[in-house]
Amino acid sequence: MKRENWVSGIFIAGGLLLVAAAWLGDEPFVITLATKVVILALAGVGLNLALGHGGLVSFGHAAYFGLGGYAMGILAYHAQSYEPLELGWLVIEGTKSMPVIWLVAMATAVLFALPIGLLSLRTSGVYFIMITLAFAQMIYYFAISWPAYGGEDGLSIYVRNSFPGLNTLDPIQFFLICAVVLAICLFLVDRLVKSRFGMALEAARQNPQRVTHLGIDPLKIKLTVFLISAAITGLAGALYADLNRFISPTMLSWQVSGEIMIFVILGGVARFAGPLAGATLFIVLEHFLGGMTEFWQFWLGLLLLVVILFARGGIIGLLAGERRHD
Amino acid sequence: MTEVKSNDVVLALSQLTKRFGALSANEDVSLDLRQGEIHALIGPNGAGKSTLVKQVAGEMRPDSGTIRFNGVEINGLDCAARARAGLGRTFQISSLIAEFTVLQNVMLAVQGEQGRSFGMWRRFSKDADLLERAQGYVAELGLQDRADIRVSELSHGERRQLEMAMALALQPKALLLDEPLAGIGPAGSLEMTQLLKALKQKVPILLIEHDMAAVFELADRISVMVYGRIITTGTAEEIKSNPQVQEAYLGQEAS
Repeated sequence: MKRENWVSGIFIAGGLLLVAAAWLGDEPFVITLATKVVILALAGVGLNLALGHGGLVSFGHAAYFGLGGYAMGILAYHAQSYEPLELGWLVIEGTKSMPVIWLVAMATAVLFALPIGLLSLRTSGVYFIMITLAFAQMIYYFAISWPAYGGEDGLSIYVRNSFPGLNTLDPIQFFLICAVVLAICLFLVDRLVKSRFGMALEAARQNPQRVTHLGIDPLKIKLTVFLISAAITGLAGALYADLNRFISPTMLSWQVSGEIMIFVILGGVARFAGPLAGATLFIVLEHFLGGMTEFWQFWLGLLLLVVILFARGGIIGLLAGERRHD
Repeated sequence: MTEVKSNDVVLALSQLTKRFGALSANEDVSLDLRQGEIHALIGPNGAGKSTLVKQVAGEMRPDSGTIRFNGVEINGLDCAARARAGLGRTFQISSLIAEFTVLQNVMLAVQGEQGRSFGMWRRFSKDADLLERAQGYVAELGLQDRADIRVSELSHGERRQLEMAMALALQPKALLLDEPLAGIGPAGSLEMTQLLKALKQKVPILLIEHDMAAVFELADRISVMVYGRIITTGTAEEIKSNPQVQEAYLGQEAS
């Protein structure tokens, strides 16, 4: 087995052991923190697919994260207020069912990512970064000025949404739901990356012109991966909203786009467990350094700088000590 | 020249013109490529050969004129569509997927030919449909010992061979080869010449090449391009003895 797989395996096993210990020792706060890591890692898995494997440096993934959150918030709001959402002839009953909410969150993210991808994929480099950012900011400002669902103040959901057969209010059960969702997504993304589609994507990232001459349209490949990426990040947004039982435009802000990007870069771009490692380090720093100093983000910035200058493969790359694709 | 039956013509360029501002890169260029032949296009640097290749491949649109491939006008098709239609090509400057191995590059070409690039479940590296055919092309070009070497570690000559393997993997109905002999050394050049000779029975080849010895040996017909125009087309003997060509091209080269 490759060393990177060992590193990822040990890392994941260690995390699960820690959560198990917290559960036995009755430390719900640690479990909640771990749940946050898992959800943010999922958002990172989405971005890693576009950024790492597709070379699409999206600086607007907060849009899909936030849209996933709002999909959850709006559905749950109508369920808890018993007022169906009326859109002309279309009447949507709210719902508190997580699987339904997840599907709607992913569909919403894809629906928005489609026009955004179609327009922004015509550009590359800095222009791509700026256009994805601009679209995300448009959605952010819309959410702030839209009074129906709390506007700038956000919207609280009083009871966490339900999952058939489980008590989602129990921290460990909600953690397990999130962890299983992350595991499934990691597995599917890994299959995708190693499939025909994944190789076409990898080739399109390296040499789009060559791929074109092989009869493969790189734009279609990239658009498809952009949509899948948005769907995964949207799903993470719905889970994040459920974790906090609260949504607000903050989820859509460019800082969130930056944070998701930091998970990917810290952990290791295009690495299987990169987003998970990155999100873990981020939350650990935020929690412990943030407890010591208000200026923890200064140290985060310094760390990011070191990683970019000296460890391009991020934490996973540093520990695995291999070039990717080996 | 003898009259040809129209169904022998695979690729027909008629009256192509491409201008960049006042500069006329291609002016009223007509030539055709027939079944079973190698048609070489020669001309001094800057004559407009590369511009012509780009228009045939679909990277550039001609200002006027038509390109017909197997009797169908393909002016409106983009590169990917032309590749799918069976127009294979190699590049003047090697263009490969640098982080892929030799075999992976050829497998990707086979995948492009098969047209199934949205499969997201089965593993590419274990896909028998891709592997078997790709290994065949790799062997045909004598690269079997280098199959698992990354492209970035290949020599220049090996890259050209890989380009050919990828072009063949697309099962082209016509090949557009832009300087396939450039920089591959005498031994590689000899091998490639043999390969092209064998290949032309299966696939007609439009060859852009600077190596005159190879062109005279390989080409059934030669067209000479000077300042964006084709000044003459003929057999190697006809071209060698054409005074216009000697003045415009061979004379320069000899001096």
